[in-house]
Amino acid sequence: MQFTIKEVEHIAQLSRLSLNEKEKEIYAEQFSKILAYIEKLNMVDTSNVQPTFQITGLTNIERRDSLATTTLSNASSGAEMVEQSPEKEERYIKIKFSQ
Amino acid sequence: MFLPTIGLEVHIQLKTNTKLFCGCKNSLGMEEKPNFNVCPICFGHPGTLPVLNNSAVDLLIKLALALNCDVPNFTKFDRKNYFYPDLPKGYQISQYDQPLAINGHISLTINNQTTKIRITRLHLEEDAGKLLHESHTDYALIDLNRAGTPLIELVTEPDFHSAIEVKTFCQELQLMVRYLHVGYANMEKGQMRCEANISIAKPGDKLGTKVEVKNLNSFKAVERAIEYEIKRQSEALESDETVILETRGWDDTKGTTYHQRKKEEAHDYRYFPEPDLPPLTDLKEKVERIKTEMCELPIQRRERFVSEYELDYKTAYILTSDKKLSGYTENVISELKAWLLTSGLEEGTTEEMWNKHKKKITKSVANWLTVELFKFFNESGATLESLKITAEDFAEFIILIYKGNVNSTSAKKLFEIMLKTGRDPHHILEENDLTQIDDSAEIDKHIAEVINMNATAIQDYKNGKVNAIHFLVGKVVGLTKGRANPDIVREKIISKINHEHVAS
Repeated sequence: MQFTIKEVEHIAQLSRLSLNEKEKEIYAEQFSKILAYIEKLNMVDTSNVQPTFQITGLTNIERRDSLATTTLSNASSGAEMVEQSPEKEERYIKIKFSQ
Repeated sequence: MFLPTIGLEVHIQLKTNTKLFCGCKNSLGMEEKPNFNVCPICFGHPGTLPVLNNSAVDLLIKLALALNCDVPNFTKFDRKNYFYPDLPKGYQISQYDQPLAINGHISLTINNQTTKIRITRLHLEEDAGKLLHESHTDYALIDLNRAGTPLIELVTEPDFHSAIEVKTFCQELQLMVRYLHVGYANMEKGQMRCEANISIAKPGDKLGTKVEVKNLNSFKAVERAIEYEIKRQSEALESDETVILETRGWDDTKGTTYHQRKKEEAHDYRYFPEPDLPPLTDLKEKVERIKTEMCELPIQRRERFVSEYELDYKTAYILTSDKKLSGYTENVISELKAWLLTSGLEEGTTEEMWNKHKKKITKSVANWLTVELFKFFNESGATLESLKITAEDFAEFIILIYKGNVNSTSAKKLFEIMLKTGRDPHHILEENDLTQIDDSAEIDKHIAEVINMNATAIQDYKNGKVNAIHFLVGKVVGLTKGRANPDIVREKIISKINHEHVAS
C-alpha cells in the first residue's frame, strides 16, 4: 500500500519527530516499500503457528511485596540519577516543554 | 428530552508496600522529596526489567470478587506505547485484551430506586510520574516518585443515566476500597481518579457521540461536571449543532468543561504483549484463598445494622460510612447486650430480653455517636483514632443514662469529661458530683426556695402562662447544679402550686 504524506505526518507526530517536506516524501516511499515486503511475508501460511509473544515459557513470576527485598539504597539512588540528567533543577529533572 | 448515557473509568492507587514492578516504596503521594522513592527500574533506565508485585494481584482480585467479577484463568500484560515526559519508558505496562477480571456488577439504591451497574473489567497498570509545568514557560520539571505506583483501572458499561447515579457509585466504590484495605481512595489526593464518558440521545435512538471528561477531583466535581456536560450537549443538539468526539477537562472554578484534545484511537498506542513479564495462569487457587479472606462489605454491614440492630437505614448508613466506626458501634452494642442479660432487669429468655430493649438501646447508642461524638469530632478536629473513650466505657455511659442515674444535662457534662480524660464514667460521676438527685427532700427544699423567690412566675402560671413552669424548673435544676431530674422537678412544682392553689 502507498503511504500518504498525511500518514507519515501522523506517525512522525506519534514519534515526536519533526520532518521537513523532503524527508516526508522519502519516508512515504520507504514505508510503502517496507510494507510491501511484509505483504510478501504475509503470503506464508502461518495458520498453525502461534505468535511468539513470550520466549521463556515462564508463567506466574511474582515478587513479594516487601521493602526488605529492595536491594538498592534509595537515598542515594534518586539524587544520583537526577545528577545524570543533562539538565536538572534542585531534585527535579528539567526538560524543554511547551504546551 | 434527551436521555444521558454515561460510562465510567476509575483509577485506584493500591495500598501496597512497594511499587508494581520494582521494590521502591509506594508512598502514595506522601514522599519527602522529589525523585526520592525511585530506582533505575521505575526510571526506565536501559537494561532494567520489571517484576510483578504479588500483593497488587491479590488486591485487585479482592475488589473484583466484591464486585461479582469473574477472574479468567489466563491474564497477561501489554505495552501501551506513547511519548510523554512523565512516562519514563515511553510505554506504560498495562493490560489490553486479557485483563485480570471481567463481567462484574453492583447494585445502587438511590431514593429507594435500585439500579444495576455492570462492571466491564478491572486490570492492573502502572502510574506515570508527575510533570510540573507553569504555563508560558518553556520548560518543565519531572518527579518520578509516582511512576510505577500500582493502579487498578476499573471500567463500567454505559449503564449510568444521571449524575447522581455516577456520584453514588463513586462514593460506594471508595467505601468498598477502604473496607477491603485495597487503597485509601482519597480523591483530593489523586488516589482515586474518575473519568466519565457522556453522550445523550433521544430515548429509543442509538447512542450519541461520546465525550470524555477528565480532571474530576472530588465527588462534587463528578456530579457538577456531568450535569454541565449533559446540559451543554443538550443545548448543542437542540440548536442543530453536532457533538464532537473529544476529551474535555473540567474547570472547577468556572464550573464548565473545556476542549482538551481529540481522543486517541487504540491503534495509536500500538498495544502488544509485554515480553518482559510472564503471563499469570491457574488463578483458581488464588481466587479461592482470597474468597476466604473477604470481609463484610459496606452494603452487607449496612443491611445487617438495619436488621440486627433495628436502626433506620439513614443511621445505619452513617455508622457504616467508616469501617472503624462501625466496629466501634458494634463493640458498644455487644457490651450493652452482655450487661442487659446479666442485669436482672428483666425476666425471660435472652432473646426476649434483648428484643424488648434492643431498639431503645441501639437508638441511644446511635444518637450519642452520630450527634454528640460527631459534634466533638467536627469542633475539635479529633478522629476515631484519637478517641479516648473505650467501647466498654461508652457502653457504661449509655447504661447510666438508661438506668436513669444521670439526667440529660449531667450526661452531656459527663460525656465531655470522658472525651477529655478517657476515664471511666463511674469514677467521673463520683468525683464530680454529677449523679442524678432523686432525693425528694432535697428537691422539695430547693423547690420551696424557688417558689418563695419567684411569686411573679407563679402568678403567670396560674394565669395560664404554661411556659412559666420552664423558668421555675430551670431555677431548681440550677440550684442542684444540673443534677435534678427536670421531669420530676416539674411534676413536683406543678403539684405544689396546685396544692397551694386549692388550699388558698
